[in-house]
Amino acid sequence: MPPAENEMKLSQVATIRTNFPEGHFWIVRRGSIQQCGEPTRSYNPEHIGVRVERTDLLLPDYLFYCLAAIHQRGDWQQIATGTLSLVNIRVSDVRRIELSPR
Amino acid sequence: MKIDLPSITEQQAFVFEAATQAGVAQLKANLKAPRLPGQTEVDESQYPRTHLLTESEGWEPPHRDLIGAYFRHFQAHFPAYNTDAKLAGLLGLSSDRRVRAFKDGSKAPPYGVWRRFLVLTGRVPQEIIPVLAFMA
Repeated sequence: MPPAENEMKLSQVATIRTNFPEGHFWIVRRGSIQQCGEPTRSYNPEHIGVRVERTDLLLPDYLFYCLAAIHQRGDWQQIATGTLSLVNIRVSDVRRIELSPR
Repeated sequence: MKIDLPSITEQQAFVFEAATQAGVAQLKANLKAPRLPGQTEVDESQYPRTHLLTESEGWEPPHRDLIGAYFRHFQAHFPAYNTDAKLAGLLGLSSDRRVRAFKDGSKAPPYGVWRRFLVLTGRVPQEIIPVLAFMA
């Protein structure tokens, strides 16, 4: 299904990359199936850093808690690749998260 | 993967609720932190305890002997903070020079920095400020 006209990708409002100490928070890129995709306030160069640039549209803390809910629901487990003990998600997976304005 | 994007006001309300729930969970988890033996480098009964008070109760900066003893004791138990630079990061300080200045007594730690360390090491509870109204 094509995206609705007003839908945006997360990459349009935030800078998302690894090795990014200036991020507002970070997402675990590589780890166990339980850890992978978990947002954290602790910097690690391996984690995917997220810095919201359009804070007039999206609050960093709001995004943090939404990503925590996504992780708790286990959504990343459908996307993560790797072995049973060590999986990873891609920066591009985070960049393409859709934002649906109400 | 999709995230709902409501107005900023609705996002703030959501954050308030989620941050409060996370805060409650963290406060409960804090009660289950491991218990470690106290520092033995200095005899604390020989020093004032005013550094444990809040500002309104009459806080005074800790004696430098206590700062050094507390920091070294902490760093011995937590290798992740075993350098002054790492400890500076934990305390929200810009450089390890400030940690060294506290240790050698050339500078007194500000209340907020010392209080954070006391909270992190389970020596004082953290202050929860009551919300009187939502006024934004």
